[in-house]
Amino acid sequence: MIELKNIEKYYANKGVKSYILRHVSTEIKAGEFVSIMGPSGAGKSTLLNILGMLEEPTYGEYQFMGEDITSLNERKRIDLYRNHIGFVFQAYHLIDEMTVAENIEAPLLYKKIGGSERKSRVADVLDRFNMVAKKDLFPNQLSGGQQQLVGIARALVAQPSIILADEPTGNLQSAQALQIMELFKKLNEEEGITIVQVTHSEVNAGYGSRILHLLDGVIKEDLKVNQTV
Amino acid sequence: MFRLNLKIALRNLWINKGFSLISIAGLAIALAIFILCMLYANYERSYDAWNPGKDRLYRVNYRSEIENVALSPGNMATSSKENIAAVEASTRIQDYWKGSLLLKTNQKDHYVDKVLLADSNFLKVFEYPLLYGNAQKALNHPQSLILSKELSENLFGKGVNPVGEKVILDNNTAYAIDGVIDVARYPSHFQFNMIWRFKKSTSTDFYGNNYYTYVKLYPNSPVLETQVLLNQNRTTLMNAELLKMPDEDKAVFREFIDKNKLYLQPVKDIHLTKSNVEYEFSGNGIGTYLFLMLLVALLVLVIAAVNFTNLSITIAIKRAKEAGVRKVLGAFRLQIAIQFILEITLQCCFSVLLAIVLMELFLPSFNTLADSHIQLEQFRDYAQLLIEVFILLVVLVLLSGLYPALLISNVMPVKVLKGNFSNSDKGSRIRNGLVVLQFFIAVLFILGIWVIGHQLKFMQQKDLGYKPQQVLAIRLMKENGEAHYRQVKNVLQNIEGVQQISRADHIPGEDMGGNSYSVEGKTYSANFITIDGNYTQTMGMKMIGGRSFSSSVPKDTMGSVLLTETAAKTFGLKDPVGKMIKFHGMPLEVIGLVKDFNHYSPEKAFQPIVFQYVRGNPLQYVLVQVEAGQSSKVLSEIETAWHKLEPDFPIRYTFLDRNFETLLHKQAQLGRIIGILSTVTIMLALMGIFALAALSTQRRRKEISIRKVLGASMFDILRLLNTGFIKLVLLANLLAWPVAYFLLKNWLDEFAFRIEVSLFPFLLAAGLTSCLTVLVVSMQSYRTASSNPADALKYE
Repeated sequence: MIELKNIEKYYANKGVKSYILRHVSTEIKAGEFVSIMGPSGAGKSTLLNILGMLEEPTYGEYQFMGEDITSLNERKRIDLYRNHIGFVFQAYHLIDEMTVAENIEAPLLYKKIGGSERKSRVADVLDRFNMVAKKDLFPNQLSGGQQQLVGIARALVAQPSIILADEPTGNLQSAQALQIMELFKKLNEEEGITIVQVTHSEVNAGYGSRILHLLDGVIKEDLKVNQTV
Repeated sequence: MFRLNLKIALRNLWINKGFSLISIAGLAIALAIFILCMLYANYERSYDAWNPGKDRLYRVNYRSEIENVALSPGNMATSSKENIAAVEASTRIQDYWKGSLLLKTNQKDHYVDKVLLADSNFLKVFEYPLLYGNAQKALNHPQSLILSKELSENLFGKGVNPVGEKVILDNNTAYAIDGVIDVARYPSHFQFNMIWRFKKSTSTDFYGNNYYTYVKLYPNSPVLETQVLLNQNRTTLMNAELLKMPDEDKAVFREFIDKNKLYLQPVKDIHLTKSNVEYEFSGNGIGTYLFLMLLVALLVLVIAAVNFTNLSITIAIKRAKEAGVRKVLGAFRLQIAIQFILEITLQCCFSVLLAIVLMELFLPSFNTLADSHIQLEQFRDYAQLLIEVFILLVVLVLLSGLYPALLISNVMPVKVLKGNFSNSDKGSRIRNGLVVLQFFIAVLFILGIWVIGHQLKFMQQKDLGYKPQQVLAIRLMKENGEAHYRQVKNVLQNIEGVQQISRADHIPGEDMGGNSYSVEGKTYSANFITIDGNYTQTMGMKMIGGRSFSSSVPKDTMGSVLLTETAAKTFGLKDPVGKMIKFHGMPLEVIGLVKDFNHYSPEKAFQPIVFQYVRGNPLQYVLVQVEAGQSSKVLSEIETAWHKLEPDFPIRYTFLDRNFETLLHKQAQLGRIIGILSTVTIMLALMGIFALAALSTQRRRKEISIRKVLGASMFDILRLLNTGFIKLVLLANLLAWPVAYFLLKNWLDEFAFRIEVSLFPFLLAAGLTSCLTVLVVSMQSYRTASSNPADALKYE
């Protein structure tokens, strides 16, 4: 599904190049649950952002579902967002002015899906996440864990083939974090959604099927996880 | 999607209610002012535009090498219709020479001013829709009258049809009212309260140019050819007249025929286009004035729009996160921009609605302030306005919304989603530039109000060279004869508090006659006033040399004049008393020198004035000097006495100081308008600063907290927040000063008697704007500056 070849990312500052990523090459297949780990400043988030096309690599080749991303125009890229990629953020990034239901509905609006279909899909997702009672609340009326649930619900509603999550549990208490991880695992196993997450926590990484260890912009380890949780 | 966006827009307005209110209300006030000015402009442009034949309507003016006059000989109207094929209809009109006319109905006596005389074809050329009456019949017989709606309501009451009523004019003849015209709705370059028929439809007045002649041409007639034909027609008529003349006058008359040429001036241009035509009806050629007014209104609107844009930019930045999230969810840039524009449109719509309400509320006061007669009664009065308001709305939305929309839709999702985009200083240069612009305009207005106010006060308090507070001018209405005056004088003299009595043909402020005088072979022109003895004493003027006229010196009537200082200077007379000047070959002795006085408003320089004794124009004003402080008591006694002196005519009088006030009316009006505008602009600019200060403190909350933790006092914090704004305000002052100086100097240069602009108002403007800014910013940031730093830092 995703193929990275020799990805490099650096910032040139007064002639000095400071590298964030160096010679990153890897492949992520459909249905994998990959955790990117590493200390602060290792380039985890940058790598995820490149995967999500939020940042462009300075050099290298990136193929998403067989398409060369580096030559993609904005319209095509937005089409990928609409149809294939769901984002989950550490800070949730819900739209404060919208209710829970509206937040979940937002990606469908951009997908030009009809009103009744939108309603039923939003209702479905709300139901699945046990949030029907909270659908008219605004984000700041929810706890962090609930907000992240909404964030995931929003990412899921457009039925993406891959979810990119940047420290999804970073702001959460451990009980809530566990809940989110269980959910990811279930989605990955039952619906075959590819998941790539950045995390600090070994425990969280343990939910996935594969761990990429990043250090100073270089992939140090690429491990398969024994499913023994 | 649209509905959701609308909902979000409304929620956003509600969340930021304080700021929303400031931007919406501020914009609404400025819009209301602008709409009022636009209405005014619409009204001014409607002059003569209601006439179905407006595009083929011309006034016949004449021009020679030295003159350009709006008048033409009396018979041009009838003869051009008879002799020129292109002329469909023609009419001539004239101002009533006495100025006002006594009109009596069964119930009321009323002095009517703005009286026009017209011939029977008036309504064929000026196709007024009559409110009452039949246009075919009105003015068809010599005793026919047309009234303005205002006068008709005054005399007969609102909604009463006065057609067929009889009134008596000048205690003399009965006239029938044949029509009523809603003059305020159908304004024209001439104004009237009443149209009165000429005694005869034709005129035999060839020599003088005493009439305004209008012709309506057939559609698509060639104007230049018609002009040639008109001149041919005139020459033919005049030449026939020339034959009848005595031989000695022929040469002068022939020159008169040859030198003057008629030309056609389009009527629809008269009101707005400035032309240098003499004897133009007053209040015309105001296009430039109108343009300036719109420009000023636009400035106010710019100030409010700037607030609006500034707030939008700040809010846009606060909402960058939302834009970033939307992009990641699959929104196109354009969709985000459109959403933002939609929100701004919504706010602008609220503003416009509020502005229309304000406009309706303030229209009557505006009409008083600007001396206008704008009416909004029927639907069609609104049609044009609504179209213009719509265009205005679109322009406003684009101007104030485009930049913030671009800013927000340009957001890079990574940056926002990663961290604190809202803490960046994006758009600050534009914001600061706009604040400078606002205060630039505000400072211009402050300086304007200061200088205009002081010039006005200077003129009001100036020693005019006579005593306007003490002199009462009563108009003789019955007759101007000697015997009548003697009787008047005898009665008034016996009233206690009356100190001096005299009479004159003109009072200060009125246009005087002009004459040519020759001194030692050279000809000079000067104004002249005809007076009676005791004039200088009554007016409180000062004699510098010689004596005043005296009834005991018979020669005074024919052979003596008084000069003002300026007249003496104009004539080149060093020591004028006793010198001789000539008028039409007749020798006159200068018997006295009068100290210069302001006959007109101090806007104009001293006039060269020659006083002549009794001979000349009818002496229609009785001047009464009243003991200071006794005026109301004396006045009531004079009124009682007047009932017996002129029983048929109600008394018409004016105190000269009140008369003088009307001369300053235009300047006072300008002062009031600038006063209102400067208050509004300062208010709006401060509103803008208030909102920006709020947003900047909000943005810098973390910084403030950190500084406090590091030991900054509240004063330090307030200074920190104020410095930026003060710099901008001072910069605006520096930029505005030279511009204001130039503009105001230009304005003052039009006054013969003027104040000098000192440095003080400039410093005052800088001080005032700075103080107000500090006050507003400190008020706004006080809470943040004094809050507990932990609250702000906790979440970061």
